[in-house]
Amino acid sequence: MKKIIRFILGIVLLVLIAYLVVITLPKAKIDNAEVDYVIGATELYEQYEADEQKANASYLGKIIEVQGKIQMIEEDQAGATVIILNCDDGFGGVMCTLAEGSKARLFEVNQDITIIGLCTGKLMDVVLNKCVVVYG
Amino acid sequence: MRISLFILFFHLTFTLCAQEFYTRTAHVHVKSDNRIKSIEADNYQVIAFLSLESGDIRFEGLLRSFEFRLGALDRVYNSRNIDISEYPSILFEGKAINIDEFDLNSSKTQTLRVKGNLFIWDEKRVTEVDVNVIVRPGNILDVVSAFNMRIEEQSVDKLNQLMRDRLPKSININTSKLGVSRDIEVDVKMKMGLKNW
Repeated sequence: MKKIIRFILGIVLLVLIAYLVVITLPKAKIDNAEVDYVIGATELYEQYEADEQKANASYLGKIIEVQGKIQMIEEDQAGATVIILNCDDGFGGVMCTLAEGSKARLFEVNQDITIIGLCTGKLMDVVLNKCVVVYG
Repeated sequence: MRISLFILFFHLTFTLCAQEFYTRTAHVHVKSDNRIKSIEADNYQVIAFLSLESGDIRFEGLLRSFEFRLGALDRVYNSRNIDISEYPSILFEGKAINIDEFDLNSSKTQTLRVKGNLFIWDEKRVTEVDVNVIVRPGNILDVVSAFNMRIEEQSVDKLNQLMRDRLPKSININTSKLGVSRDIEVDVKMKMGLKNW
């Protein structure tokens, strides 16, 4: 009887540990992930403008290192820094939202910058998420 | 004469532009309940437009930009096995039917009645909701709304089929066993500025 109780308690403990691991597992980050593509902001934007479906097939869900000049700096509703890279288009650019926990830094418009981020597709801008600044 | 025409053109252009508001950093929060733990996800990269001229309101966010609050789910969602290329975004397109009553000079909370279509995945719903708007100094609009979307029975069947396809045959679970609610709550918050192009 004791063995059965120990067995059941063991199972309950395992389930509890598994539940706690699942609940406390941090969100996906791209800090140490391998970069899939290295590309300029203007070229990335132009590829999306030319053929969004084709560009999505290449870049959607992929980690991209993108270089460009800062056109605009904003803050989103979670307080994260959002950097728009200039693509000489007038309307759109490449929007990069810096990852949660990124160090607060001062950026300037027209500053050259290199950012790694997860490509999530295109709205008005090509959108990169969970971004990390590697140069600038 | 030419100068007068130029001033008139400039004035008209400015007036028309002044009626259009937009943001590229609106926030959409999605929540669905189940027996184990509520599934919640946020997207802070949502583009939104509101025209005070026509009452047109539109927001669109990419599905890949959603971040799940539960880390484990976020990791699964960000894995490359999830294919969302067929329906890459969540979209709402509608019209404020009482836009004529909106006063840009009032600092009180104003309610717009918005009617339109909400698209999530391959689901489309005709939706009518109240949208609360506060005009902040500097012509900034704080816009808040909450949608509710009930998943149709045939879509639950599709989801169960997807789980049967993806999970090992020995794991016999479906959405009803998990206690997944058919109601999806969609909360939207936008801080919109004047569209200046």
